[in-house]
Amino acid sequence: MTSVRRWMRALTVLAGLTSGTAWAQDVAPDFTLRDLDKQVVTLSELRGQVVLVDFWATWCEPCKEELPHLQKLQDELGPRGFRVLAVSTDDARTGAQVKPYFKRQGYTLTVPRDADSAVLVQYNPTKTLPFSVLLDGQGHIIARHAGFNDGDQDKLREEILRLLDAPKAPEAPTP
Amino acid sequence: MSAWMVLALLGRGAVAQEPAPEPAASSASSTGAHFTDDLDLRYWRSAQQLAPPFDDLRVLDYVEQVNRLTASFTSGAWRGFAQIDEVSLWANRYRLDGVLITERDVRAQEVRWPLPGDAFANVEKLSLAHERAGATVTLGDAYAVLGTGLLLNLNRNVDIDVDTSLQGIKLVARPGDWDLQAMAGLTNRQQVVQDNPNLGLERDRRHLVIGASAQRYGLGPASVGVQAMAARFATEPGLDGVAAVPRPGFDVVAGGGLVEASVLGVDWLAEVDALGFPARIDGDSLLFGDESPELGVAAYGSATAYVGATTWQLEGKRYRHAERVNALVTGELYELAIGPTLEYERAITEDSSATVNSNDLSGGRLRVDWAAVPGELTPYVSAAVFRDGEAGGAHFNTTPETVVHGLVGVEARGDGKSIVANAGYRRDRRDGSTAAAPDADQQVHGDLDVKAPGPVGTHLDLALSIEHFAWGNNAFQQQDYTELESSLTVGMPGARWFLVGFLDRTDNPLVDSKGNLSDALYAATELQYKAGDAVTVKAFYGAYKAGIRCAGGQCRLLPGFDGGRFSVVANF
Repeated sequence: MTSVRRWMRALTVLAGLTSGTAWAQDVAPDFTLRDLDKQVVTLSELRGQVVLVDFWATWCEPCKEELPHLQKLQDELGPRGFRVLAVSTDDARTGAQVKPYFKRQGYTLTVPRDADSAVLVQYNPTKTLPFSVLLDGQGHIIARHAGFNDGDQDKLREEILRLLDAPKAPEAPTP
Repeated sequence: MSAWMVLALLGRGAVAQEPAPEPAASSASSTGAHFTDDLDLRYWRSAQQLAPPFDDLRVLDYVEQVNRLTASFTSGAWRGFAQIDEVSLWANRYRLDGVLITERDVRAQEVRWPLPGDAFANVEKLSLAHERAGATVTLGDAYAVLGTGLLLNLNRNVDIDVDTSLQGIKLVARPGDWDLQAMAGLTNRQQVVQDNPNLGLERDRRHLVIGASAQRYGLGPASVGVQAMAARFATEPGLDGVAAVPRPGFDVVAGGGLVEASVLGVDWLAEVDALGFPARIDGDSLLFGDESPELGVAAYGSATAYVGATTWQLEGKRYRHAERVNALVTGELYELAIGPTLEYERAITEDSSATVNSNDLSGGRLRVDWAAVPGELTPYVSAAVFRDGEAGGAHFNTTPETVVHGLVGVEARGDGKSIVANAGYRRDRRDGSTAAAPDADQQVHGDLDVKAPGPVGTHLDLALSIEHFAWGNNAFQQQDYTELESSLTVGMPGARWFLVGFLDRTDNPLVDSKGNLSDALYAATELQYKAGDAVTVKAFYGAYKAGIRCAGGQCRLLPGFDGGRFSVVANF
């Protein structure tokens, strides 16, 4: 019983430590990857736009549940400065499946390939999918989302709209 | 205070040191850090019992606690990553006639641990990367992938709890239309696992691997590449294991080329590699045992055409002695090289795993998808044929066999509802089989996943997998069996609370577990709570079956479970 009590105390402490913490507003690690057309995509070159970096794979069913919602958000809010990077974490083995999947679904999102998970590990060390981060125009991480459940897309849309509607920060003077 | 509490407190301390958020107008070149902590407590009910008259005592049950702390940071062009795992066993010993008996040890005897108690901690991954002018240098742990993975594919595989990296140096550069990478280091297998029991953890054997690739893009519609790797396997654990190898040179030296092109509306991809096994001990190669070493070949190709609303993808492969690369590491529960399997992996069984890990395999698959309503309704058919010429291995073949596998399926999504379903039939026909005396393994399988809104704002997810396997006239005759895995998830309004019910059934004698409702029937329930995206709490009680699970080209026999588990995943 002593050990059980010790565990309960420990759990209470952990819950208190973690549940009160909020996401840090840290900077998104920059990355350069090639997309399905072999073009170079560099995250930092998208500064000024609200960017959702979404990690997915063809073998991940919840990822595929989420993608149509991301395409809709891109279609609706793209003209206002919103961009989705649908980073495929399919490794070399399933890499040939990525482009056919996107083409037949009619998706037009940019798909950088992260075949060795080098970028995924920086964003999501637990490496679970789907996982997405929402960045403001300065490249700061505003929100992280792990997993996908129906209804999450509505919360995500609200977050994006909040960022798009926020007053723009003044441009830094050019030297 | 237990070790995981220390880790959690360390994590909290690091958060406190994080710089305050910068003003929105500032440059995003500042420092940031991100931590995750995954705590798991598991109560394992043992199927074993003491001999009478002590068989009513549950002293063989035990408790396992696992904690995984990860930390990543960014500061300008620098990036770092660390993963620290800790595990301890509780209630794993009892006293009988005054003698303390330990039924399970978390560590093997040769693994030294300075602190009291049955525990173990390990810095599983540690890396520091610097990026400059489009080039990245990583010191420490990095994943290593060449081409389509035929020669080298060291990667994480979360689905089956495998995470092996290369610990050393990795260089990646993208000058103009070139992608260049080179890596050298020792394999670093994750020691502590999250979903499976941690018992008798041993020191790792560290295999030396070097690799390099160069890919040139922008050659009209094509890109070409070359890749090469070499490996020297250790047979003793520890850092000095490689140096202690009593043979000169590399056990494997391999190289080849890769071409990708989009021509005539078709996407083409082809990779061909040759593998040599030069190192010898008294004339024998470590990877061939008593056999004479031969040159290996690994080849994979795909052609994808888009015709109206249909997508036609034809793939082919030829692997000859390519699996030798994995011969020594398979026992360590990972693989060094993992190429495309062309197989529907959920249907792979102990017997049918030849299509994944044979040393003499040719095969092809044609898959046709029809985007009837793009993004909403896609039925598909797939047909695969393989010729497995290897008799032996872990897949029970005593004669070569021809494998035929057909599959039909559909993916339908829209308005918060989805149906993903497929059904297939696979036949492994052994040579010598005749119509009068058919000799083939046969498998029928089906998967169904339905998601739909439920009553009073809930969301329902029903997942169902079923398979029946018949062995035919097999020299290693086993019992035909039927297996079922199912779950029903009820998502409460607000997508914070989830209640899951599980039901498994199997009468497969190869499955090394027993159900909690009956020998064949397993039931469990889990309650999940997501406090935003910062904390997820799960409480599980019940049993699930053991069995083989294949994902990402790797297969692993996962143990069953009977008991309770509580887990907290926190991001901060």
